[in-house]
Amino acid sequence: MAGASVARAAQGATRAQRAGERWAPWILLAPTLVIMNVVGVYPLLHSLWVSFTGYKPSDPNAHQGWVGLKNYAEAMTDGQFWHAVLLTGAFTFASVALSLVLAVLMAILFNRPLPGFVLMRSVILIPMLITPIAVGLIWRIMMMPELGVLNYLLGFVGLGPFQWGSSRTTALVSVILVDVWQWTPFMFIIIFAGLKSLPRSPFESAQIDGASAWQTFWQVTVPMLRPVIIIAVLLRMIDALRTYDTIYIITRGGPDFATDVISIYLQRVNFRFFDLGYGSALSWITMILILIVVLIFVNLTGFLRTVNEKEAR
Amino acid sequence: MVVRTASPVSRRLFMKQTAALSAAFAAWKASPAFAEGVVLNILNSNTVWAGALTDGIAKEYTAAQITGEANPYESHYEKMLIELSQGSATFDLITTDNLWIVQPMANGWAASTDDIRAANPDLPEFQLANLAPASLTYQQYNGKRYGLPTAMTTPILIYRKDLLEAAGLSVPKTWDEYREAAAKLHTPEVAGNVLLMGGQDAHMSGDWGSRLMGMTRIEPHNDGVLDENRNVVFNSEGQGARAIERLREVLPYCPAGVEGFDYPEGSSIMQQGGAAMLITWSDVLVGVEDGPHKGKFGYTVAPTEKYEQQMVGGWSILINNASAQKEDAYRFLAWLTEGRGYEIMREAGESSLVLQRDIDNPEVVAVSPTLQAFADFKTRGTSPISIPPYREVNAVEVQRVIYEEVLAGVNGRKEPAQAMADAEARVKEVLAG
Amino acid sequence: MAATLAEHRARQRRAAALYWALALLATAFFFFPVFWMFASAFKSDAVSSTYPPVFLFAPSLENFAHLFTEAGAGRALWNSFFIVTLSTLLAMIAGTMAAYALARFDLRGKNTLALEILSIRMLPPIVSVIPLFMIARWLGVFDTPWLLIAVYTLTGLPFVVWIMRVFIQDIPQSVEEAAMIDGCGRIEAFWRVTLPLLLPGLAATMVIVFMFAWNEFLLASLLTSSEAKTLPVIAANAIKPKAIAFGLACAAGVVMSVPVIVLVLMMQKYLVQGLTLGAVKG
Repeated sequence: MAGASVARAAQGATRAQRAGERWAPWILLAPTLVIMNVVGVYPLLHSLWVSFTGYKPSDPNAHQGWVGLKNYAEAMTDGQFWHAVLLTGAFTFASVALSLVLAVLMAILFNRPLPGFVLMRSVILIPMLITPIAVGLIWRIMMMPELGVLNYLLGFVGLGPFQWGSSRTTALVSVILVDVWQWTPFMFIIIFAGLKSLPRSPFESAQIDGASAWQTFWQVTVPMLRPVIIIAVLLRMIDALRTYDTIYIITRGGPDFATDVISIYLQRVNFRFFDLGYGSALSWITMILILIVVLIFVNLTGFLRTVNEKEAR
Repeated sequence: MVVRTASPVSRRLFMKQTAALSAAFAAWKASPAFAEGVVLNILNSNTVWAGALTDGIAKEYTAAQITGEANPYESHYEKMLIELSQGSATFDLITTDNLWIVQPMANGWAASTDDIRAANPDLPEFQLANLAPASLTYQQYNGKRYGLPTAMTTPILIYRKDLLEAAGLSVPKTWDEYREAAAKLHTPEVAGNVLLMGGQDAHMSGDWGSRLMGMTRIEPHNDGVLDENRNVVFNSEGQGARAIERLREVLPYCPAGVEGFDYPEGSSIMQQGGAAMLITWSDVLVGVEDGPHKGKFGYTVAPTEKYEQQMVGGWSILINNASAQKEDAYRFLAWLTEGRGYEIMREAGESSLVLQRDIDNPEVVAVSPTLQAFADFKTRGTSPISIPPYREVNAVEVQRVIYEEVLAGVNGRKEPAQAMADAEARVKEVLAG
Repeated sequence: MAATLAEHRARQRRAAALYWALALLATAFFFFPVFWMFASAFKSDAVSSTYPPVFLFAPSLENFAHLFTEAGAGRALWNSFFIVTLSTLLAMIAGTMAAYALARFDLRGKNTLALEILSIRMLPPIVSVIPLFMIARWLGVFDTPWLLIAVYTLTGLPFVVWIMRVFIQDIPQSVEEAAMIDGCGRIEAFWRVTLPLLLPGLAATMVIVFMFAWNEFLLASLLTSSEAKTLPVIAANAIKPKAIAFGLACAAGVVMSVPVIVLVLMMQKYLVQGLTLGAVKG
C-alpha cells in the first residue's frame, strides 16, 4: 500500500522531470540522424536521379540523358526481373522459416547448464562469422556431385549422390540449405540473448502451477519472446532478400536461372552490362518491394503496436 | 528493491581502450611513405602473369616503380568500368581480358600508343615482331594500336591418351569423330566428355564457340558472331543451331551435374580422372597434370566441322588515357616488347605465352603442354580468329544473351532454331542501345 | 518415496542424455563445414583436390605463407581491424543512444523514424557504389579508411537501433525511475542500472555489427586500392579467372574467421551474465 503510493509519487516526479527534458531525445538521436543524412542520403538521391536517365557509361551508342519513366516501364515487363522476384520470395520464406524454427529450438535446448554446452554454443555461432565468399567456396567444393565430400559421406549412410547446386531441380534447395546453415546462428544469438533476459518468476509460477514443458513453452516462453523473435525475423528477412555472395559463388544464378535471385540479376544489369539507368530503376523497385514486405510484416504481427504499448508503460 | 551498482565497463578500461586505439591510429598513419620517382600503378588480374608484372618484372624494370593490385575476374571488370568511366587516374596501366578490350578503346578511356609515340618520336618503337601475331590483333582499334598482349590462349581438346589407346581410337579431328569417341569412352565411372554448361564464358565461348568457329568461313578479323557492320551473323547459315545440335548429341556422355559445371569443376574432374575428354581454354588446364593421372593427357586443337579455324583469346595491357604518366607507361610497354618481361612471366610459371621464340622453343613446350596446340596450328593449317563477340562494346552483355539462349537450346527448353531466332532478336536489341 | 526419487533421477539422466545427443547433432551440423574449411586450409594443393577426400594428412602451411607474403594479408588484416572496430564502436554508441530515445520518450513520428533507419538496410548496396566512388574521389578519401568507416557505421545502425530498442523497452521504466528517486540523474541511472541489464543485448548486437562490417566485400573492393584494402578483398583473390585456389580460399577464410571467433568467445561471458541479473527484474 505504502509502496504503491510511493511509486505513484515517483511516477509523478519523473513525469515532471521528463517534461523538462524535451530536447533530450533529439540530442540522443542526433548522431544517428547526422550519419544517416550525410552518408546515406546522397547515394540514395543519386541513384534515384540516375534511374530516370539512360546512363550507360560503357556504351557510346546509348542515349545517356533523361528518359523519364521509361526504365520503370521496362522493368514492369521484364520477365527475368519478376522471375527473380518470385525466386527471392520463395528463397527468403523457406530460409527464414527454417532458420527460425531451428534457432528457437536450439535456444531452448542450449539454455541448460549441461556440461560442454557453453563450448557448443560458441561453436554453433561460427558459421555466421565466416565471410560469405569463403562460405560459398567451401560449400561449392563440398557439394560437387562426383568429387565433393558431402556425397562421399552420405554414401556411407546409403543416401544416393545428390546433384546439389548442379541441377535445375535441386539448386534452389541447396542454396537454401547453405543459407539456413549460415544464418541460423544469427537468429539463435538474438533469441538466446532474449531468452537469457527473461525474468525468472513467470517460469517459477508456471512450475508451481504444474504446467508441462510443452505448455510452458507455448504459453509462457513464446509470448514473452515475441518482440525478440519478430526482430530476429525482420532483420534476417531483409538480409535474405538481398543475398548475393554465397548464391553467386555456388551456382552463379544457375543452372539455367534456377537460383537467379534479385541481387544476382541486379548485379548483372548494373555491373556486367553496366546499364546503370535501368539498373537503378530496378534497385529502387526492389527497395520499394522490400519496404512493402516489411510494412506488411510489421503490421501483421502488430509489432509496432506492441512496442509502442510497452514504451508507454 | 535492491539495485546492483557496479558498472560493468569501468572507467579505467575505457581509458585503456582509448589509448590503445590512439596508438593504433598513429601506427597506421606511420606507414611507409611512397618511394621517390615515377610510380606506375596497374589495375591487375590475379593470374600468374599478373603476379609476375608486380613481382619479378617490377624488380628488373628500373626506369619506374611498378605497383599493382590483384583483382578477381568479375571485380576486375567492375573496377575497370568504374575507374575508367569516371575518369579516375588511380591506375596508369590497365590489364584486360580480350573479351572486354573494345570497351576502353571505343570509349576513349585507353590512350593509343601510336598517338603517344607520334607526339614524342624520341620514344622507342615497339618490337612487335617478337610477339605472336595472333595475339596482336586485339589491341588494334580503328587502325591504331592501343597496347600489348600479356597472355594468349586458345581452345584445346584435352584427352586421356591411355583411354583412347585402350579403346583403339585416334584423336578426333571432326565433331563426328568426337561424338563417336565420347560414346565409346563413356562408362559409369569415367564420362566420355565434359560440357561446361554452368559458366557463361565457358559454355558460350568454350563449348558453343569452338563448334561454331569451324562451320563457316570467318575472316581473321571477324569473329563469327558479328560482322564489321555490327550485323548479327552467327546463324546466317543455320550454323548457330547446328552448333547447339552438336552440343546436344554429346550431352548423354557427360558426367552428373554438368548443368552446373564451370571452369574449376571441368578442370577438377579431368584431373581426377572422371572424364576422358574436355574442350576448353588453354589457361583452364593449368593444374590438370597435378593429379593422379599425370602424364596421361594429350593436348591438341579442337575438332572442326569444315574449316580449320580456331579462336585465339587472352589478355592485354592498355594505358589509361587519364594517366599523367603516359610516356613512362609507354616506355614500360616498349621494354616489355624486347622480350625479357615475357620471359619473366614464363619463369614465374605462366603457360599462356605470347613471346614467339618461347612458343617455338620445344623445351618450353615440354614444360607447358598446352602450347602444343599452337604447334598444331601449323600442322593442321589452322587460321586464328578472334573471340566472339569481342568487337562489340557490350561484349559481355551479348555473350550473356547468347549464353542464355544456347543453354535453353542445349537443355531442351527450346528447339535450337527457336533459341537462335530468339538470340538474334535479343542481340539486336542490345546492339541498338 | 525413495523409489520415486530414484525413478525421477533416472528420468532426468535420460532426458539430459537426450538433450546432450541433440546438442551434439546440432553442433556437428554447424561445425562440419567449418572443420572442412580449416582442414582444407592446411592441405597442400596436391592433397586438397583428391577424391576420395582425405581426412588425415600431413598439414602444410604453404597457403598461409602465400597469404601473408604475396597476397598482402598482413596489411589487410590491420586495415580490417582498424576500420571495423572503429565503425562498430561508433554504430554501437550512436545506435544505443537512438534506441534509448525511441524506447523511453514520446516522439511524434517515432515509428516513421524507426522505419527510415531500417530502410538503410533495404537498399541494395550496388546502387551506393558509384555515388560513393564519386564522393570518395571528390573528397580525396578514395583508398583511405575513412569512407569505409562512415559507410560501415551507417549500415550497422539499423541493427543497433532496432535490437537495442527491443531490449531497452523490455526493462520497465520503473527501474530507472526508482534509481532517479534515489538521487541519480537520468544518465547515471542508465549507466548504473539499465546498462548492466542490457549486457546480453549489447553483446549480441556488437558481435553482429562487427561481423557484418568485417565480412563486407563489395564496397571494400571498389573503394580501396593497395592502401586501405581489407581482408575480404584478399580472400576473394583466391578466385582466379578460370580456376579456384581452394586451399588459399580456405586459408583466407580461416584468417578472417579467427578474430571474429575470438570476439564471440569474449562476448559469451556477457551473454550469460543476464542469467543472474534476471533476478533483479522479479
